Amino acid sequence: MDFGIGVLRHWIMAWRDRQIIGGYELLNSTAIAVRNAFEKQLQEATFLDAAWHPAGFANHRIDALFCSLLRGPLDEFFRSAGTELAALDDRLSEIGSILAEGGLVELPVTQDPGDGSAPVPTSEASASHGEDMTLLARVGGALASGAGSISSYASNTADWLVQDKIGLRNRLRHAAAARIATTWMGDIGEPPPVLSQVVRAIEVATDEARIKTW
Amino acid sequence: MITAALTKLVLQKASGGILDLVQSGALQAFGSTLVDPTSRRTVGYLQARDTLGAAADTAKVVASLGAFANPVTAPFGVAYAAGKTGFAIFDTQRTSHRIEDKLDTVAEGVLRSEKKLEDGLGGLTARSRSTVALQFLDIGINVAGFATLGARLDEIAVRASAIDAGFREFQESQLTLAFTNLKTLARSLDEGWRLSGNAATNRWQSVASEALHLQDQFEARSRGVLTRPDPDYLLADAMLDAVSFANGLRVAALAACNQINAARSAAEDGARVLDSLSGRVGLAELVRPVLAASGSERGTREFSVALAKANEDARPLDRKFRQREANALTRAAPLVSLERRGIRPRAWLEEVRSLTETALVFMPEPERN
Repeated sequence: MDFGIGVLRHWIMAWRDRQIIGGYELLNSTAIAVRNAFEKQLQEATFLDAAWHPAGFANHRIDALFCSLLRGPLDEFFRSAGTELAALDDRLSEIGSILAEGGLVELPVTQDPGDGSAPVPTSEASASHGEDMTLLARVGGALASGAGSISSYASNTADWLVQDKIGLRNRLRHAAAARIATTWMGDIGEPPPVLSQVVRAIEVATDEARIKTW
Repeated sequence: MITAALTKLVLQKASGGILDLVQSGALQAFGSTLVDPTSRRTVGYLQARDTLGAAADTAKVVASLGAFANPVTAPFGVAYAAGKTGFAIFDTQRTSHRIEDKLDTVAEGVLRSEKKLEDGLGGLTARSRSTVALQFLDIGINVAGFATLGARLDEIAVRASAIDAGFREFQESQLTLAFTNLKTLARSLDEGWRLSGNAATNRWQSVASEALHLQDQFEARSRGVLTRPDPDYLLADAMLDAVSFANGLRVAALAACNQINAARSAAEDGARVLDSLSGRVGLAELVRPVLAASGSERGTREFSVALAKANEDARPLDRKFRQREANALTRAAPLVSLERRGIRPRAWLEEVRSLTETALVFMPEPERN
């Protein structure tokens, strides 16, 4: 192996490390912004949301916020990464172009439930009508439909100070954090977390680049 | 017919202007090869001489290493030589931190003069300075005496034993035996220079053959460490040093026999092996376990801080992986140039060994039309 090839392969690894660390930074900074935005949405939460099904309240809101805040920067991330890789060597231009085109990461798809509430991810919407419906969700759903008076009472009379004191709001925050740590910033999972998809795309490009420069 | 004068002509001490050019970025170093970044022409080759000989001022050697610490050339892993936290290369952890602080300065390229570094090294223990300097032996073809090679090997073995829990348990294990055999080979290589004629050649051929066997053993050990579900990269680093050491013995022995093609082939093999072992290990691999251990919650500022810190902490080891690969890839680079000029490697290596007053030798590559 010519030493020039060695230099190039080291550049590829340096590029790869910059992108992966950059991917972590991008997802994490977006998550911080998502958390801040979610904090404002907590005011929409009812007692039942917090008490019975915090994930039901948090997940689709986190997904919707993440999608809106991440899509543009993620496209720019891959455009920049692809351009940078292509600039290293002519042999890498094709791989760089594929990266720069984007579309390599599938974000959780959300759809507007049409009732004015936050969009709901497709996977969750279908799950709530399918076999994946959990006992907790069913119980919570039954309570929600059959105990309107409780819901109304909770949302109208319990002020946020009280909810904070009894930790209900924290249940929603924990649910949001769990969603971020798994669906968005997890290392493994099914479907693959977004961060793991970003890393995977860079790793595949790295492997291809190393093969082309051996 | 090459005269001794010509052999001497292609060797220069590298502690002066050459290193200044590297430090300023006018020349770039990749392993032992120096390149003019403007014309991309190879301008020459570096060759480590001996860092523990009486004439070699260790502080100056380390200062030379520092000269490579510019952001362009991704320098030798001198900062890593100071060890990671809790990694007991040195006498005490306190000493380790003191060295790390000083050499981090070097790695950042902040240090502007050899004198300043020498002053900074004044507080280090002799052993610490030696350990740092030993990292330097991997540059070019191995011509160091056994005292230096043995010290280098001991340093690698100490790191392996400090990290590998299984090592202590099996003191008589294959690994211990392999390190002992490697040390024997280093002694045998050195003794070869005091033999003459066929006796020397036979000795070196035997060294080359045995070194290949040991290189394979350490390769297998390294691969085992690196393919664990939760790899110990510090242990892998010690094992990779052993692979590189064994390969260096092979190349040096074959070059001493004037077997240019075989030496080049052995060097290529070493480069390929190291690339296959560590070429795909980078900052990402080193950062992930540290991040996980930090327990920082994802999506928080705390996570950002932990990521930045893990990234910075991992850089020296990452740099060392790359530097070892670069050294292996360029180990036999001077041989081609020597062959072109009709200089036999053995004569050249003898000349390098005779330059006891310097730790680093530079061989310029003549400009070709």
